[in-house]
Amino acid sequence: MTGGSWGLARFVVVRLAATVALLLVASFVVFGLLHLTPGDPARNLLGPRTPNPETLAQIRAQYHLDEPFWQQYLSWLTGVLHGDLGHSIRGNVSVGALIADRAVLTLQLAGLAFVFTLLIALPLGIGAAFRAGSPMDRTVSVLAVVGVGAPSFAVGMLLIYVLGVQWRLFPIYGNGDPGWDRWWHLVPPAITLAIGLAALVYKLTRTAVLNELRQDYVTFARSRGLSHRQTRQLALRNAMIPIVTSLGLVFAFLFGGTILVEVTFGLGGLGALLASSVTFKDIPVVQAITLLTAAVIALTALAVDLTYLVIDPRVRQRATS
Amino acid sequence: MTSLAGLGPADLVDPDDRARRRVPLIPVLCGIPLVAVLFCALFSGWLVPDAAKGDIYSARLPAGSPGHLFGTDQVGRDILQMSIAGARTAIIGPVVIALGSMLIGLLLGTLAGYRGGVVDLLLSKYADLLLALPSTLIALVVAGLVDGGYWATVAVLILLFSPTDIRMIRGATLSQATRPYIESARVLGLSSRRIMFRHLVPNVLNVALTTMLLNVAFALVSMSALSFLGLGIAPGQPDWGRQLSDGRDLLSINAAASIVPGVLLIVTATAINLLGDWWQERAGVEA
Amino acid sequence: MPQPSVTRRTVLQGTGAAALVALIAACSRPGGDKSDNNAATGKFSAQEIDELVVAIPATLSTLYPGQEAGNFNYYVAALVAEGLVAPDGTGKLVAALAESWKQTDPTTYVYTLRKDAKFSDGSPMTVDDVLYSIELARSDKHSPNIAYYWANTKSVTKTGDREVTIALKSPDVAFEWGPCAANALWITSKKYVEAHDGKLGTPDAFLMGTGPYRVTKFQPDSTVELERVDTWWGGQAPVKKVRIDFIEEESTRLLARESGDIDLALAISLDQAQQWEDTEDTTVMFAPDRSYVGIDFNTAVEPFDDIHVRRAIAMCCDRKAFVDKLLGGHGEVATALTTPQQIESVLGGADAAREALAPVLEIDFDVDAAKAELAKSKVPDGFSTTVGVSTSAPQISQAFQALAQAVDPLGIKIEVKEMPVEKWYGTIGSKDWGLAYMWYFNATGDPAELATWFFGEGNPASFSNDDVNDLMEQQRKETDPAKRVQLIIEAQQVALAELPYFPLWWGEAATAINDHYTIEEFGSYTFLSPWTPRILTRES
Repeated sequence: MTGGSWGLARFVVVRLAATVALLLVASFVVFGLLHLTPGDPARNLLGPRTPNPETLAQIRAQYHLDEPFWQQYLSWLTGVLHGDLGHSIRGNVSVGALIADRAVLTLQLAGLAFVFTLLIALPLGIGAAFRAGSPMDRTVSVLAVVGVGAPSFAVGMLLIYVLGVQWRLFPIYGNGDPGWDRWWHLVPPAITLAIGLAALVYKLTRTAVLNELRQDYVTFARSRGLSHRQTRQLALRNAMIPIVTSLGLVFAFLFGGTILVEVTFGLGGLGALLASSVTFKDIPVVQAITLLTAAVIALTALAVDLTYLVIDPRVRQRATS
Repeated sequence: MTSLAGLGPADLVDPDDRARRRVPLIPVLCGIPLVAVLFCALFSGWLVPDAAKGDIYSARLPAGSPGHLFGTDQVGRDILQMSIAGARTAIIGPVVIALGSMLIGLLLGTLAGYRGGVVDLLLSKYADLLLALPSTLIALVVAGLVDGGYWATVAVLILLFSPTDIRMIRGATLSQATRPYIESARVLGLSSRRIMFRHLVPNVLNVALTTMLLNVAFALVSMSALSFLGLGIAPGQPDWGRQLSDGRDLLSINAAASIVPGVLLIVTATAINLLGDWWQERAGVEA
Repeated sequence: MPQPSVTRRTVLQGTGAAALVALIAACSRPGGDKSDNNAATGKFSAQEIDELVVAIPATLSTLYPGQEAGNFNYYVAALVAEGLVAPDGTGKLVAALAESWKQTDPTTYVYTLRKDAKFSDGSPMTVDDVLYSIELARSDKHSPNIAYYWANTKSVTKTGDREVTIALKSPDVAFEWGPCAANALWITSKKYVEAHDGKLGTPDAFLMGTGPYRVTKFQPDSTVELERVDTWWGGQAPVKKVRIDFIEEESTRLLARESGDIDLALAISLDQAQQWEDTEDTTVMFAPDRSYVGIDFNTAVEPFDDIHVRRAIAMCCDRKAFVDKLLGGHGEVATALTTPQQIESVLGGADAAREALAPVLEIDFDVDAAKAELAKSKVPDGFSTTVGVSTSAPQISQAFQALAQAVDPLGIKIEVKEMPVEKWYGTIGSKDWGLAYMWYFNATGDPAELATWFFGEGNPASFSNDDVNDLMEQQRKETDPAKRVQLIIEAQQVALAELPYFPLWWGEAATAINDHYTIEEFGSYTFLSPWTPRILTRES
């Protein structure tokens, strides 16, 4: 038992170390690639007017853009290690202050959409698997194909029109005030995100459950006289493994893929900021968002693996031995 | 960017095709529009040679105007002709993307699955890295580096699709590599390259084909979504995604300008998707 | 200069959506025509309004226009902070925080400050505050977007209790527009800025000034909220609260108007103006926005160093068709760099202004003449080139597409390439882009604003002409406004004969408003000085 928990601790530590390494590589790759792209943030700050060389030089010095690449990267890295994410060139504010609220909003949006996705997809997927081949199964399966292809912008507009303009149930756009109002504002965009993803999660849930139901052990359990309910529970428990794996990816995808919905619903989240910061070459902002997204994705993967351990004792044994 | 990186057909496959009656209705129903689109794509230069030419004096005509069944766009191009010619970019790019990313997937995925060890580790870390970065970021940065353009978009999507394909093929290879026939090939002293290309690859191809069909549909939608980054088809060239977005501003004047390419896009994507599903089930692809 | 606002509505391009939106649009108004279309008539008067919700199609990352000088940064700042002078409805400069000013010699301006000006925190405005604010505006670090405007300033000194004297290095009549919130000065409290670590306009340090409103909330990428103050020297504005929401997606903004969530939508898309007009209880107002759109030929790049090539391309532009077809008639064919609105207060009316500008450039659309021109050039059989167009400028992209078709029979191939606006900046004056364009919003009512840049050093066409330089030098010193306008027009006439620039059109902005309200004397300068007092309410 003691050996097991030590093993578990080692597993977590190794994974965390790997995550840090991944973040480091990602930050370097993004920093390097951004450097290679043409364009000059100082020039962008000055707008279309042909800039005066001294002004340009002064701004470049102010943001350390005149230093060699390595030095810029290292001073950025040193700053990050000291908890300073740098200074946004475009907004003239610290990056931490700039992205904190937006990160919260994007997390809330992704979280809510995740919950909606599960609420829609899991019951339908499991139900369809238990009644494979039935008219209900067929109907939902066809709807899922449409759902996968439904563009989020179109769904968003439809929701705004129906829920906001016609029924006046939800606000049409905007962040709302922190708290209850915020969540209320996030419902339509979260549904929009959930509709596309639910179709996928539905498909994979149905597949996973079907897969288990056809395993030998289920047939065996049935023949041993276990009740319908008991065999189903057994199958569901085992089907959870592939489902949980993909749910981790689904959340990560949600967190990194909110941009279209943010723009449609006039939300000030990370997605829109990332896109404009890349074209502006506001490198500190891009770096911070990259790190944050990569960290969320890596930590989600870790959480998924830990969930595995809870669900499946066999995996626990392998991981900790 | 619709590709949910990391998931693939293997996760979505109905493991038991006996569960459904195989009615050849689906391939027929999906085949008709696809053949039509393919025909337009191949022969658009001959069917509508002047699709990209417009006349500003007949700009913004509503649908049903004489000589312009679906009206014209902002610069006076005929919507019908543009939509026929638009099949070309709609089909060619996604097919190249699916082929390209699958080629990478086959090469690196079989390598990783078969060789294991350091190669496997490096390749899976590469896939992790690509999956961890926001796809918008990758697309924008690559757009800046290679200066936009249709083929640049294709390249970006190959890059974005490849980690999923690598994982898929790696998984399929792993499940094959432990099978008795590979073992016996080894025992027989066949070189590892020969084992890989003569035995493994053909068995993995089934998975590859299914993934590719799904990828074509994903790529079709993704390509149009990327055009906002300045990545994609040049303005004025016939392309469904482009027409759709340009046409949005014309809704009150000529709604057909966006509805026609929009419907074509949705029908094509759905047809390919359904065909992919059907193939999966028929072939009984396994994880 | 305010930059064309970058909107990310294009983000949604090609997401397979339009079909659905079209359906929504088609279903929601089966009748098409609506009865209250001429609702703009009726009686309006100044009445108290509790809250006005404004939607702009862009996001603001800071409220201080010195740091980010988009049009909308100016419009919001105009409600909060003021300069020493301000433009009136016709573009004439009038007193703001200076109760009077005079030019004592060609390089010296003396401003006498108002006694009754207070900041929104209640503290009185002092000469020190003015000196400090000018210092901020002159600093490249704090105000990268406007500091160039102060480059000719020699000194700024306190010359009395309520008097500030600004000395220039060399005479420049256009300087009058410098200390103006429509251009390059927002007077703020020194104490306030110092208490906020030298920051101004950020979410931690709101913009603060002497205007009719104070900022109560600022979420970049989302919203700004303003609340009326009782410290404004101009009295109390009729609107108690102004909320400015950032909605980049035009369809969402339209639906927000349809539901009544927003009252005023600035800079609506000209293409969708009809849909806005069809929306219930909504009026669309059009006004020239002093913007200039024109082709830049880089005369240092082959084959555009050849005037015959430039003329051939210009003759293939059917500018009348561009305005009628691409802008839906909301704009006018440009004949000069100066817009009519910048000289109408001097010449006494819009018609006189147009008449004065008409002879500056006379090139007619004539494809046959263009062929003859090209035959005389170094490239009689044509050539290929690429033009970079910002994704935020769909009409300009369409104009170049139409031009590409028009020049095609001449053997000239023009490829239109769309790019993010920042990348477009890089094409201006670049040797890699012989054919380019300028979309310029004149910040001021100064008629030489664009000409000073376009004919001066480092101009985007690599253009240089001694006669033009002479004329421009003369106008800088000319204190008689009418004579100065003549000199500026003459300079453009000489310069444009060589065709380094080919003006295409002068733009118009469309504003949609809840037809319960209207904007008094709506025009091109409306949003550049405190504008809520102009909002009138319909009498019931």
